[in-house]
Amino acid sequence: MNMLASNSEESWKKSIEGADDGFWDWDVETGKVVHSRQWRAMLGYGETEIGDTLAEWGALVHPEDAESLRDGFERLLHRETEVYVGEYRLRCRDGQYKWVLKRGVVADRAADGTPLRVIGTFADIDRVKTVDEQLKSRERQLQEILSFSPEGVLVFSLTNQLTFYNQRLLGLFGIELAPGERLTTIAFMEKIGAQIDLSDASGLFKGFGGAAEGTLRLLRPLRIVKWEVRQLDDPILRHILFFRDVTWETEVDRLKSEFLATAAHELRTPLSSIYGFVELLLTRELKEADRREYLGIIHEQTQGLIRMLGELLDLARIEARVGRDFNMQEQPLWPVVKRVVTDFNIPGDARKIRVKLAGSSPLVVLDADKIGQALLNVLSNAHKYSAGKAEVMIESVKQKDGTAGWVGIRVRDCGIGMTQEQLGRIFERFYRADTTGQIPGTGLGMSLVKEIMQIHGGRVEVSSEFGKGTEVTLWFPELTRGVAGG
Amino acid sequence: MAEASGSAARETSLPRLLIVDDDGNLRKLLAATFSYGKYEIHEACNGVDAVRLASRLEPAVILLDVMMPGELDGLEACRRIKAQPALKGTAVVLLTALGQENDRQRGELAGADAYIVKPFSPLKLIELVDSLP
Repeated sequence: MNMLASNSEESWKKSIEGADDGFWDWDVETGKVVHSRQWRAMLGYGETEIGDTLAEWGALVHPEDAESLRDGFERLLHRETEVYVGEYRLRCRDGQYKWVLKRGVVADRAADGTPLRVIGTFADIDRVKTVDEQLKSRERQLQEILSFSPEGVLVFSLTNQLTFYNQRLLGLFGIELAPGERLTTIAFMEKIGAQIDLSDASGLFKGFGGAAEGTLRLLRPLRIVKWEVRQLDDPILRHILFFRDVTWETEVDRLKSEFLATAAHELRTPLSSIYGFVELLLTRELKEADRREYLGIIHEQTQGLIRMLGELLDLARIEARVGRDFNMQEQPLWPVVKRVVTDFNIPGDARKIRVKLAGSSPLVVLDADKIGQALLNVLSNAHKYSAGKAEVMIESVKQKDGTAGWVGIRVRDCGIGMTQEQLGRIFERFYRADTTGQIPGTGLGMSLVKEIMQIHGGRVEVSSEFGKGTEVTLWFPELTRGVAGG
Repeated sequence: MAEASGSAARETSLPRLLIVDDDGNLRKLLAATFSYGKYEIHEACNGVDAVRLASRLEPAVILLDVMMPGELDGLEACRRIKAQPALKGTAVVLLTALGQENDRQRGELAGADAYIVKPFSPLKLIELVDSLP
C-alpha cells in the first residue's frame, strides 16, 4: 500500500532529522499519529508520557488554534487540497505553549481517493513566532503613540514606498481611506497635489534631497502647514516627514504685528504734537496766546496718551485673564445703570441723560465696575458724537431667543451717526470714526466694551444711520429665577 | 472734508509751503514751525485736496503725511504730484508714523525727496527743508 519504498522513506526521514526538523506519519483510519523522536523532546515530554492517538495530541493544541487546525485537516481529507500547512501552538509539559509549523501531504489513498495516510514534517518555530509577535506589537504601539502626535508623520522607504503614516496626516490633508485601504505614495502625491499651492510644492520635493523644512499653503480649506524632512539612518527607511498645522499661530503672529504697527502709529501721533510744540516753546519767542494754545495741546495730547495706555493695559489684562479677575455677582441691573448715569459728566456739557428703565430690575450676573466702565464708554461716545444735538437716551429692552431671555441696556443718540464702513470697523482696535482730531478718543473704547460683554456671556449690538444717530445695546443673558426690585 | 487753507493763505510773493496731515494738531504744529516769514503756508487734510492744491499753488515744498484716511494715502498723493510736469520744482517731504526700512523704500519709490519719521524735531525739519535743492 505504501507509496514510498521503505529505503527511500528511511533516507528522507534521516535528511529531515539532520535538519533539526521531525516527521510525522498519520494513519487516518486508526487515528494513530507517529511522530519522530524530536517531537516529545521538543515539548518536554518523556517517551511514554503521551500516546500516539490523534485525540491525545489534539488535546494539547491551544484552544485558539484548534479550529484552524481542524479546518486544515478537513480540507485535506475532503480532497480540497493536496498539502496541509499549519502553524499552531501546543502545550508543553511545563504548561507553556510553543509554536509549531506542520506540513503534510497525502501519501496513500483508497481506491475512491479517500486519504488513508498523511505524512509530513514539523518544526519548532517558537522563536521566529515570538520575534514576529513582538515586532507586530511594537508596530501597534508605535502606531498608537504616533496617532496621538499633533504632527502628521510620513515615512518613505529607500524605494520611495510610503511605509508609515499616522491618522493625523490623513486628517491634515483631508484624505479619506476605505476600511483596510492603505495609502500609497502615488495616492498621497495625487491627493496633496490637488490641494497645495504648486509654487510651494517644489520646495517640498527638493527637500527630499536632505534635511530641510518649509511651508505649504493648503487651498481647501485655506491652511498653512509647516513641513520638515529628516534622513533616517536605517537600511530600509529613508525619509521621515513631519507636517504641522500652523494656521492659527501664523494668524496670531500677523494680528500681533499689525497691532504693534497700529499701536506705534497711534503713539507717535500725539508724541509728535508734544515733542514739536515743546521744542517751539523752548526755542521761540511766542505770543502769550500762542504759548497758551500750545501748552493746551500738549496737555490734551498727554492726557490722550495716558488714556490710551490705560485702555491698552485694560485690554491686555482682560484678554490675558479672560475674566478671572472679574468680580461676578448676581445682582439687579438697574442700580448699576443708574449709578453710571449719576456719575457721568463731561466737562462743559450740561446735557442730561434721559433714563427709561421698565419695571423692576432683572437679575444679572455681572461685575458692577466692569459693566460700569463699558456703559461709561458707550455713553461718552454717544455724547461726543452728538455735540449740540438732543439729549442721550438710555432705555431697557428685552428679547426672547428660543428659551433664552436677554435683557438689554440701549443707549441712543441723535448725533452724527456712522457710515456702513465706519460701523463695520467699530470694534477694530484704534479705529476712530473721527479723523479730524476734534473729538478726543483712543479707538480702544468699543474694543473694551466688546471684551467686557463677552466675558459676561453677553454681546454688543450696534446700529447707526449716518447723520441721524447711533444705537448701542449691551445684551445680558437673563437669569430665569425671577426678578428683584430695582 | 473741506480743504483747509491756513491762516497765511493770503497771496504773497513768497515760496509756498503746503502742509498735508489729517491730524489738526500736527497741521497747527507744522504751520507754527514754518511761520517765520519765509513761506506762504497752505494746508490740506487729505490726499485728494493735497493733489488739487498742489497743482493750483505749485508750492516749493509739500510736507505730506503718509497714513491718511480716504481715497489717497500720502504715498499715492506723492506719486500723483510727482507725475505732474508742472510740479517738477516741488520738493515733497513725507512725514510718517511708520519707521520701518521698507516704508522708507516705498517713499523713495513714490518719488519723495525726503522722509521724516514722527515724532520729529521742528528745528531739524526746518534744516531739512532748507537743505532741499
